[in-house]
Amino acid sequence: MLRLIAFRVAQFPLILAVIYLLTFLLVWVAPGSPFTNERNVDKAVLDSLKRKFHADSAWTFLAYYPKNVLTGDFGPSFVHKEWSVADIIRSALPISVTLGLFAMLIAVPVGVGIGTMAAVNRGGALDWISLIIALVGISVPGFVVAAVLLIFAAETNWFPVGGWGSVKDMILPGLALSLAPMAYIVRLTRVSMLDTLGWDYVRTARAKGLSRAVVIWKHSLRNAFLPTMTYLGPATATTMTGSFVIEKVFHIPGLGQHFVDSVTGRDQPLILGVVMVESALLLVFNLLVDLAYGWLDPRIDITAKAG
Amino acid sequence: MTTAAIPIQSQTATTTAVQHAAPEGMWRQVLRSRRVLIGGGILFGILFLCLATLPWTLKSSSTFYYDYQDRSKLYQSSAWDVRSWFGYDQLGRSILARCLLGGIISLAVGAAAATIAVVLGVTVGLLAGFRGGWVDSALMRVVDILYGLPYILLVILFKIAFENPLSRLVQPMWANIIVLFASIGLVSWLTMARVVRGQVLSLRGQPFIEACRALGLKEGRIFLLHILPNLIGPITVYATLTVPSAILQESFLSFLGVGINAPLPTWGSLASDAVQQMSPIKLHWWLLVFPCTLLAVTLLSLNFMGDGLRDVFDPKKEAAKI
Amino acid sequence: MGRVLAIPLVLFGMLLGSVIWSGGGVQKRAEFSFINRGDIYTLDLNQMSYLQDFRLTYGIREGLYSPDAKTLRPIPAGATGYDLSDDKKVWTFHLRKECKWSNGDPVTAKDYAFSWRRMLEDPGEYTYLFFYVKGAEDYSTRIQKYYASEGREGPRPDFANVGIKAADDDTFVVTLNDPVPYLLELVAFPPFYPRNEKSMEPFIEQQSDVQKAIGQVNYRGEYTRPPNVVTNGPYRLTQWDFKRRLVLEKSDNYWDKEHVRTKTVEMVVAENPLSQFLMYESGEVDWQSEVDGDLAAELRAKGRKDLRSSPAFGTAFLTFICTPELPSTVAESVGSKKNPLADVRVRRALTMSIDKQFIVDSITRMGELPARTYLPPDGTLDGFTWIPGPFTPGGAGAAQYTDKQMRDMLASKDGMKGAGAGLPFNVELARKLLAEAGYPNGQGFPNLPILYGTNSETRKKICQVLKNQWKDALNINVSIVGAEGKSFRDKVSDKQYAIAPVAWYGDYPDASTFTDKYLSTSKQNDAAWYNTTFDDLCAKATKEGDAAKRLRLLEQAENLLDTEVPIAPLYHYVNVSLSRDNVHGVDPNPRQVTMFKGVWVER
Repeated sequence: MLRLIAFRVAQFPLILAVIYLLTFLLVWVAPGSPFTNERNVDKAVLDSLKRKFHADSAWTFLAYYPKNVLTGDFGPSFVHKEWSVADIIRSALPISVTLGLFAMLIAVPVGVGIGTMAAVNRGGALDWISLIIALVGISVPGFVVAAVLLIFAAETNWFPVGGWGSVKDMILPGLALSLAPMAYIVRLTRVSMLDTLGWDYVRTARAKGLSRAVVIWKHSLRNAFLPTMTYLGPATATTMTGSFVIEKVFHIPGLGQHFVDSVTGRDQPLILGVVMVESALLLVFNLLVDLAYGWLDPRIDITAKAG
Repeated sequence: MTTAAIPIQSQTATTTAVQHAAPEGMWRQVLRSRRVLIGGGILFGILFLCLATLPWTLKSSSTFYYDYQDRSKLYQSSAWDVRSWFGYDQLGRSILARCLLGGIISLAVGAAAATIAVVLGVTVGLLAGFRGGWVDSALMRVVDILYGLPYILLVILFKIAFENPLSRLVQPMWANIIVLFASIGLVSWLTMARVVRGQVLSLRGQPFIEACRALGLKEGRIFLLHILPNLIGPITVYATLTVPSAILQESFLSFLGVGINAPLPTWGSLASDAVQQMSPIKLHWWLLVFPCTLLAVTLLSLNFMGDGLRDVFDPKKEAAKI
Repeated sequence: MGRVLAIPLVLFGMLLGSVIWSGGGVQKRAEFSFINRGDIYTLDLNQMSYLQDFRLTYGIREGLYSPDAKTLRPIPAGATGYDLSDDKKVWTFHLRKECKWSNGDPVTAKDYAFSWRRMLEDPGEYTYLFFYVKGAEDYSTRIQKYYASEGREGPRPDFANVGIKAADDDTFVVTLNDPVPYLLELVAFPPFYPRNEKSMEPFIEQQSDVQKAIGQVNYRGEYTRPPNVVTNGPYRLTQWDFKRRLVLEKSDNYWDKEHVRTKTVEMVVAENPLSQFLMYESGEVDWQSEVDGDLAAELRAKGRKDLRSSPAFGTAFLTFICTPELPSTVAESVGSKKNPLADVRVRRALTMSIDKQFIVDSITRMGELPARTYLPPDGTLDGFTWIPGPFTPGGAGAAQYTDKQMRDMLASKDGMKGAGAGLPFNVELARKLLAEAGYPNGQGFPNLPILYGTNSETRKKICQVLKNQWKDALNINVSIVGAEGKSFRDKVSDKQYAIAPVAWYGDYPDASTFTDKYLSTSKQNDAAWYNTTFDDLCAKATKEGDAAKRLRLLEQAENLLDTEVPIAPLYHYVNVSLSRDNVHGVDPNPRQVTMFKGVWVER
């Protein structure tokens, strides 16, 4: 087991390096410079800025910045010149992580619950109703849900209208963020639950006299949960790196807005920093999920996988 | 249909699918699935409505023209005459007319993305599944890495790189549309590739394929007669599921401002415009409610259809192939 | 089930951990809290160019002169007064001895010299304003070359040749190339403010050996952040949470601290207009400094008394590309090279067929005045008058309009149609002109693209309205092309567009801040409009010592812009803000300058 973990972790730097290079190439190909504004800047001014930031050409950039990445220094942001990328990520990441975890904490239990009940009541009213509710997450654009919730908060005054500072601020944005993963979890759980409930051991358990509830929740769920488990890896990572839309509408200073703003602003170091963080999270969570897989279902021998 | 019966039936269905060379029975089952019928019915109903009204929404002299700006009707709410059913926007344009044309463009985005996803995804998946070895590893690593890259970056870059050169060949409006279709399609094929590869790998290992080889059948014939028919199922399912995700991506791009060019409408851009004009002072609810309802209903039907198809074709599919 | 349950528990544990990690906690509310125009872009004086950055800087820094909190005219601040030489080219400023930095150091003339020199060596957007100073432009260009070539293209220019001198600790002497009557306005503008060199030393970027040899010093941007930032204004910057808030606290070292009434000021960052409004309504902020069009119109319709508006020192207009042939990328998409916009009759036709009243009534809805001229008649330009346009009886010889007359004319119902400055709204005349230019009833007119930046919803709507208006009035087709923020600015400055909606705000209260843009040599001349008469008039005005004569010359220059229309003025901006009656000192004004020194909230 330990060998597997070590093996996987050892692969991280290689994968991250490749992602760094690819993102870097893409960013340099894009026309537009981070140093231009509304007014046309003197070419001399532009050149001097580029030189100051080691950004006059792809090579100077590569010569200067990547080696510092290993120490956690991604360089200064080209757009927010007073802040280093590390500072920005340090201020935004905890917020996005908190919000993302909160959203997943809503999505997983609720999603699994609805999915299970839909499977158990196959074809019945509960099946349809719960599916429709869950599918809102993938049938209505995120900004619509967020905007509606915001207006709702404004009209009723039960919730704060955005911002970030106390637990109450998490509720509405967390809810909005949880809908999409919840929808996926509902569908996954439903399908795999339907499948599991048909297996022989379930019929045996019922025949032995175990109650329906125990059979569903205690025995079937563990197997039915596996596909959801696999989905949780990438889902948690992407939810944690923040949703741009939710953050914009509820004005939460998280990482999601930096994803988009850094691209529209061509802020190369920030783009690279944010991509690195997201990729790292993705890799870590995928590893955690694979480990949990083996723990959840002892029949699966994950060390047997090619890795 | 009791809980116990379905799984057994689906188990048989799966094994049937694998053993038969050409599972015609499958399609009959599709037509019997309630989800597919209801989802498909609603979808085609909406599509038909949008197509049928095209002669009016595209005729610039008609009052139903999607860009007809009626100064007397700025920001007016819903009323009873047909043109006013969905109200008007800030420039006096009928939301109904814009929704009808918007439906065509949104569904076209979805269809284009699904097509690209099928073409690219199936090709890559087949290559990876059949060749195996280093080709497989390399292709799958590429897919993994593309998953990791920021989607917005890819779309904006693609748009910037190709829209201008393309507008030399065709009109700028078409260049914008083509580039939008292509960029959404380019991020939609990844899942399809994984699914196809998985399916190919699992089929290749099946005893009956070994048996075919032992019988002396050529690889080409094995592929055409046995493997391909079993791929059609998953491909259909995921193609159907790509459409709603593509339409949502387009609405997100509109929200960011890199979607379709004005004044062409799509449901996503109508919703995004509406959200940006909302405030507790004056809630122009008709701007948001109608396009969103159409969007939600269409996407729900597509998802229902996809789920229904999946129930028929591969009820045991693991989650990794989302 | 137990094992499955563990998953949510693990997630919950992580959640608790990250809540603790992110700190959070509720912030104590400041005495005066407001929402600025946008997030702070930079507080580094060299790079500053956005209005919100200037607004905050007025609170933490001060220059030789400073805008008065009420009248906005420059009043002595860091300096007590000045002496002017007879040829009006040498200004000797006497510094105020009590001025101290927030760390206790006294403010000396050396601090001004240091800061102005940095503007030349590390150029930013406003470095060009320093070129009025003798030797500054030469010094700046040569030192750029020297640094860029790593010392090879030398020798190093000598700063002693520049007209910036700290004669002693309390005397600062500025020598100009030509008399600049509005120099006080300029020194009251943040790029001219002093900086404390010693406090910035810890932020010098690591120098390479070459840089050490040629004496090139760069400072890391972080010097502007608390707790290390040293300033000389009424407030100190004590807290800056990125993209969340900035907090200012009254400075004990400020020379005029008795007149600073509010102890703490907080700037909250919220970039979504809806959130901004909700924060204001709930009382979380006392002042929302910008309210956008739709919301402003709805609030006005409801008769909200806390909505305040004032004309702004800026104009929105369309820019036309005036080169004889279309730019390469445009020509390719249009299919022909000939540029119809090069013909002034075509530009006049396009301008005169725009119904600007409809645009301000239905799209922008902030109560703006539709525009006939490039310079706005908002009262900032003292003594400036407008020359009547070519279709006014009497023409250019008739009496010129004062800015009050202009405002009345533009506000009146038919003000856009009849006599006045610039071109009127007259569709028949527009059609005639288009026919004269060779496109009767729009025949043969190419389908030009109108380019807009997709970050502006308003401009998108304006483009859609223009498309229809031009179709109805002139029977021509244009196609609307959106380009994402940076791409849009690049395309316009590279002159790769045909028609585009843009805007210009004045930086200081003089007409040249508008007219300089269209000089043949100006880099801001996106229209590529090269007119020697215009250049001559502006050059003569620069040399003209008599203020009245100078204004007449600039008026003629402006009239050329309004009649040759390389740009089609659309409307003059209005600044709309929200503040309750108990908040004083935040009245909107044309240049959107707010001195926190003069702000106080009654509770």
